[in-house]
Amino acid sequence: MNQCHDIQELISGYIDHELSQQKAQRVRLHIESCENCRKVYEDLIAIRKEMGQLQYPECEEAKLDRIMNELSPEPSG
Amino acid sequence: MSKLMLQPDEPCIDEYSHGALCRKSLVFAVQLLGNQPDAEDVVQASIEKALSHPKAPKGGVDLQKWLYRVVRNASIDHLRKQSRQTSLEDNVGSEPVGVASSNPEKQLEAERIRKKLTAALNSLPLHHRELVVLRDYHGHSYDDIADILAIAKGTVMSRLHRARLALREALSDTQLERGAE
Repeated sequence: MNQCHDIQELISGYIDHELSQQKAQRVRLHIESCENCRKVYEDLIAIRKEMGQLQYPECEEAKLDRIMNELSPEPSG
Repeated sequence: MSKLMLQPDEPCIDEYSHGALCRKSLVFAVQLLGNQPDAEDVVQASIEKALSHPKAPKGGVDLQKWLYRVVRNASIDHLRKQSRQTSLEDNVGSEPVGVASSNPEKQLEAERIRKKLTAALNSLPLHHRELVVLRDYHGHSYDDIADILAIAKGTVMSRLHRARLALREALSDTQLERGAE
Protein backbone atom coordinates (compact mmCIF):
# COMPACT_ATOMS: atom_id res chain seq x y z
CA MET A 1 0.00 0.00 0.00
CA ASN A 2 2.84 2.35 0.94
CA GLN A 3 4.52 1.46 -2.30
CA CYS A 4 1.35 2.35 -4.21
CA HIS A 5 1.22 5.72 -2.43
CA ASP A 6 4.83 6.46 -3.30
CA ILE A 7 4.39 5.36 -6.89
CA GLN A 8 1.13 7.20 -7.47
CA GLU A 9 2.81 10.50 -6.66
CA LEU A 10 5.20 9.79 -9.54
CA ILE A 11 2.63 8.72 -12.11
CA SER A 12 2.06 12.19 -13.54
CA GLY A 13 5.81 12.72 -13.86
CA TYR A 14 6.02 9.34 -15.60
CA ILE A 15 3.24 10.23 -18.04
CA ASP A 16 4.95 13.53 -18.86
CA HIS A 17 8.43 11.99 -19.24
CA GLU A 18 9.69 14.20 -16.45
CA LEU A 19 11.22 11.48 -14.23
CA SER A 20 14.78 10.24 -14.03
CA GLN A 21 15.43 6.94 -15.78
CA GLN A 22 15.61 5.18 -12.42
CA LYS A 23 12.30 6.54 -11.15
CA ALA A 24 10.60 5.90 -14.48
CA GLN A 25 11.74 2.29 -14.30
CA ARG A 26 10.27 1.96 -10.78
CA VAL A 27 6.93 3.30 -11.95
CA ARG A 28 6.89 1.13 -15.08
CA LEU A 29 7.59 -2.07 -13.14
CA HIS A 30 4.99 -1.21 -10.51
CA ILE A 31 2.14 -0.40 -12.87
CA GLU A 32 2.83 -3.60 -14.78
CA SER A 33 2.10 -5.59 -11.65
CA CYS A 34 -0.43 -3.40 -9.79
CA GLU A 35 -3.88 -3.22 -11.32
CA ASN A 36 -5.00 -0.28 -9.17
CA CYS A 37 -2.06 1.95 -10.08
CA ARG A 38 -2.27 0.87 -13.73
CA LYS A 39 -5.90 2.01 -13.76
CA VAL A 40 -4.89 5.42 -12.40
CA TYR A 41 -2.16 5.64 -15.05
CA GLU A 42 -4.56 4.73 -17.88
CA ASP A 43 -7.22 7.16 -16.64
CA LEU A 44 -4.74 10.04 -16.46
CA ILE A 45 -3.45 9.25 -19.95
CA ALA A 46 -7.05 9.33 -21.23
CA ILE A 47 -7.76 12.64 -19.47
CA ARG A 48 -4.61 14.20 -20.88
CA LYS A 49 -5.62 13.09 -24.36
CA GLU A 50 -9.09 14.60 -24.00
CA MET A 51 -7.63 17.83 -22.61
CA GLY A 52 -5.39 18.16 -25.66
CA GLN A 53 -8.42 17.86 -27.93
CA LEU A 54 -10.40 20.73 -26.40
CA GLN A 55 -11.04 23.63 -28.73
CA TYR A 56 -12.00 27.09 -27.57
CA PRO A 57 -14.47 29.59 -29.01
CA GLU A 58 -13.65 31.54 -32.09
CA CYS A 59 -12.14 34.97 -31.88
CA GLU A 60 -13.08 37.51 -34.50
CA GLU A 61 -10.08 38.39 -36.60
CA ALA A 62 -10.65 42.09 -36.05
CA LYS A 63 -10.49 41.61 -32.29
CA LEU A 64 -7.33 39.58 -32.58
CA ASP A 65 -5.85 42.29 -34.79
CA ARG A 66 -6.81 44.89 -32.19
CA ILE A 67 -5.00 42.93 -29.50
CA MET A 68 -2.02 42.22 -31.75
CA ASN A 69 -1.63 45.87 -32.62
CA GLU A 70 -0.08 46.21 -29.19
CA LEU A 71 2.75 43.97 -30.30
CA SER A 72 5.74 45.42 -32.07
CA PRO A 73 6.02 44.62 -35.79
CA GLU A 74 7.39 41.16 -36.46
CA PRO A 75 10.78 41.03 -38.12
CA SER A 76 10.56 40.38 -41.83
CA GLY A 77 12.35 37.51 -43.58
CA MET B 1 -17.16 37.42 -40.83
CA SER B 2 -13.68 36.09 -40.82
CA LYS B 3 -12.85 34.24 -37.63
CA LEU B 4 -9.86 32.45 -36.25
CA MET B 5 -10.14 29.18 -34.37
CA LEU B 6 -8.34 28.90 -31.08
CA GLN B 7 -6.89 25.44 -30.78
CA PRO B 8 -3.62 23.98 -29.51
CA ASP B 9 -2.41 22.13 -32.57
CA GLU B 10 -3.21 24.65 -35.25
CA PRO B 11 -0.55 24.54 -37.95
CA CYS B 12 1.64 27.57 -37.61
CA ILE B 13 4.76 28.61 -39.47
CA ASP B 14 6.30 29.94 -36.29
CA GLU B 15 4.87 28.84 -32.96
CA TYR B 16 6.43 31.92 -31.37
CA SER B 17 5.14 34.41 -33.94
CA HIS B 18 3.24 37.28 -32.44
CA GLY B 19 -0.02 35.89 -33.81
CA ALA B 20 0.57 32.48 -32.28
CA LEU B 21 1.64 33.94 -28.94
CA CYS B 22 -1.39 36.17 -28.89
CA ARG B 23 -3.79 33.30 -29.58
CA LYS B 24 -2.19 31.05 -26.96
CA SER B 25 -2.27 33.82 -24.37
CA LEU B 26 -5.92 34.46 -25.17
CA VAL B 27 -6.85 30.79 -24.73
CA PHE B 28 -4.95 30.69 -21.44
CA ALA B 29 -6.86 33.75 -20.23
CA VAL B 30 -10.20 32.20 -21.30
CA GLN B 31 -9.27 29.05 -19.38
CA LEU B 32 -8.49 31.05 -16.25
CA LEU B 33 -11.31 33.60 -16.43
CA GLY B 34 -14.05 31.54 -17.99
CA ASN B 35 -15.22 34.07 -20.54
CA GLN B 36 -13.95 35.53 -23.78
CA PRO B 37 -14.63 39.29 -23.39
CA ASP B 38 -12.81 39.54 -20.05
CA ALA B 39 -9.99 37.41 -21.47
CA GLU B 40 -9.61 39.75 -24.46
CA ASP B 41 -9.44 42.79 -22.18
CA VAL B 42 -6.93 41.13 -19.88
CA VAL B 43 -4.71 39.93 -22.74
CA GLN B 44 -4.72 43.29 -24.46
CA ALA B 45 -3.78 45.06 -21.24
CA SER B 46 -1.24 42.35 -20.40
CA ILE B 47 0.53 42.58 -23.73
CA GLU B 48 0.84 46.33 -23.39
CA LYS B 49 2.20 45.91 -19.88
CA ALA B 50 4.52 43.03 -20.76
CA LEU B 51 6.09 44.71 -23.75
CA SER B 52 6.57 48.05 -22.10
CA HIS B 53 8.58 46.42 -19.32
CA PRO B 54 12.32 47.04 -19.73
CA LYS B 55 13.14 43.41 -18.95
CA ALA B 56 10.67 41.96 -21.45
CA PRO B 57 12.26 39.19 -23.55
CA LYS B 58 12.57 39.95 -27.24
CA GLY B 59 10.89 36.79 -28.50
CA GLY B 60 10.74 32.98 -28.54
CA VAL B 61 9.77 30.77 -25.62
CA ASP B 62 11.03 33.35 -23.11
CA LEU B 63 8.53 35.89 -24.43
CA GLN B 64 5.80 33.25 -24.35
CA LYS B 65 6.51 32.41 -20.70
CA TRP B 66 6.70 36.11 -19.89
CA LEU B 67 3.31 36.73 -21.51
CA TYR B 68 1.71 33.76 -19.72
CA ARG B 69 3.06 35.00 -16.40
CA VAL B 70 1.69 38.50 -16.98
CA VAL B 71 -1.65 37.17 -18.29
CA ARG B 72 -1.95 34.92 -15.24
CA ASN B 73 -1.24 37.73 -12.81
CA ALA B 74 -3.67 40.04 -14.59
CA SER B 75 -6.32 37.30 -14.62
CA ILE B 76 -5.93 36.75 -10.88
CA ASP B 77 -6.20 40.51 -10.28
CA HIS B 78 -9.30 40.57 -12.45
CA LEU B 79 -10.89 37.72 -10.49
CA ARG B 80 -10.06 39.41 -7.21
CA LYS B 81 -11.69 42.63 -8.36
CA GLN B 82 -14.89 40.81 -9.09
CA SER B 83 -16.91 40.64 -5.92
CA ARG B 84 -18.10 37.20 -6.82
CA GLN B 85 -16.46 34.29 -8.58
CA THR B 86 -17.79 33.89 -12.12
CA SER B 87 -19.95 30.83 -12.47
CA LEU B 88 -17.82 29.07 -15.04
CA GLU B 89 -20.29 26.26 -15.59
CA ASP B 90 -22.98 28.67 -16.68
CA ASN B 91 -20.76 30.70 -18.95
CA VAL B 92 -21.42 29.56 -22.49
CA GLY B 93 -18.66 31.75 -23.89
CA SER B 94 -16.02 29.87 -21.95
CA GLU B 95 -16.91 26.47 -23.29
CA PRO B 96 -14.70 24.81 -25.84
CA VAL B 97 -16.43 24.23 -29.14
CA GLY B 98 -17.23 20.88 -30.68
CA VAL B 99 -15.44 19.24 -33.56
CA ALA B 100 -17.38 18.15 -36.63
CA SER B 101 -17.49 14.41 -37.22
CA SER B 102 -18.96 12.26 -39.96
CA ASN B 103 -20.33 9.87 -37.32
CA PRO B 104 -23.21 11.53 -35.42
CA GLU B 105 -23.19 9.01 -32.55
CA LYS B 106 -19.49 9.38 -32.05
CA GLN B 107 -19.81 13.14 -32.25
CA LEU B 108 -22.54 13.16 -29.60
CA GLU B 109 -20.48 10.99 -27.29
CA ALA B 110 -17.41 13.19 -27.83
CA GLU B 111 -19.54 16.24 -27.10
CA ARG B 112 -20.83 14.69 -23.88
CA ILE B 113 -17.30 13.87 -22.72
CA ARG B 114 -16.09 17.35 -23.66
CA LYS B 115 -18.84 19.01 -21.64
CA LYS B 116 -18.15 16.84 -18.62
CA LEU B 117 -14.42 17.49 -18.91
CA THR B 118 -15.00 21.24 -19.23
CA ALA B 119 -17.30 21.28 -16.20
CA ALA B 120 -14.81 19.20 -14.21
CA LEU B 121 -11.95 21.47 -15.26
CA ASN B 122 -13.87 24.60 -14.33
CA SER B 123 -14.74 23.13 -10.95
CA LEU B 124 -11.04 22.92 -10.04
CA PRO B 125 -9.53 25.71 -7.96
CA LEU B 126 -7.47 28.12 -10.03
CA HIS B 127 -4.14 26.82 -8.70
CA HIS B 128 -5.01 23.35 -10.00
CA ARG B 129 -6.73 24.42 -13.21
CA GLU B 130 -3.81 26.54 -14.39
CA LEU B 131 -1.44 23.59 -14.02
CA VAL B 132 -3.63 21.19 -15.96
CA VAL B 133 -4.18 23.62 -18.84
CA LEU B 134 -0.53 24.68 -19.01
CA ARG B 135 0.60 21.04 -19.21
CA ASP B 136 -2.20 19.12 -20.91
CA TYR B 137 -3.56 21.80 -23.24
CA HIS B 138 -0.62 24.14 -23.91
CA GLY B 139 2.01 21.38 -23.60
CA HIS B 140 4.54 23.20 -21.44
CA SER B 141 7.34 21.31 -19.70
CA TYR B 142 7.54 21.23 -15.91
CA ASP B 143 10.51 23.62 -16.07
CA ASP B 144 8.50 26.12 -18.13
CA ILE B 145 5.49 25.82 -15.82
CA ALA B 146 7.72 26.32 -12.78
CA ASP B 147 9.00 29.52 -14.43
CA ILE B 148 5.54 30.77 -15.37
CA LEU B 149 4.00 30.12 -11.97
CA ALA B 150 7.15 30.89 -9.95
CA ILE B 151 6.97 27.61 -8.05
CA ALA B 152 9.41 24.71 -7.62
CA LYS B 153 9.50 21.97 -10.25
CA GLY B 154 8.66 19.38 -7.58
CA THR B 155 5.59 21.40 -6.67
CA VAL B 156 4.54 21.39 -10.32
CA MET B 157 4.56 17.58 -10.38
CA SER B 158 2.80 17.03 -7.05
CA ARG B 159 0.18 19.75 -7.60
CA LEU B 160 -0.45 18.66 -11.19
CA HIS B 161 -0.95 15.11 -10.02
CA ARG B 162 -3.48 16.18 -7.39
CA ALA B 163 -5.28 18.26 -10.01
CA ARG B 164 -5.43 15.33 -12.43
CA LEU B 165 -6.73 13.04 -9.68
CA ALA B 166 -9.45 15.59 -8.95
CA LEU B 167 -10.39 15.58 -12.65
CA ARG B 168 -10.39 11.78 -12.62
CA GLU B 169 -12.71 11.76 -9.63
CA ALA B 170 -15.05 14.22 -11.32
CA LEU B 171 -15.08 12.07 -14.46
CA SER B 172 -15.38 8.73 -12.65
CA ASP B 173 -18.72 7.92 -14.30
CA THR B 174 -17.47 8.86 -17.77
CA GLN B 175 -16.08 6.32 -20.18
CA LEU B 176 -12.99 7.89 -21.69
CA GLU B 177 -11.15 6.40 -24.62
CA ARG B 178 -8.19 4.64 -23.09
CA GLY B 179 -4.93 3.52 -24.54
CA ALA B 180 -1.40 3.28 -23.24
CA GLU B 181 1.16 5.62 -24.73
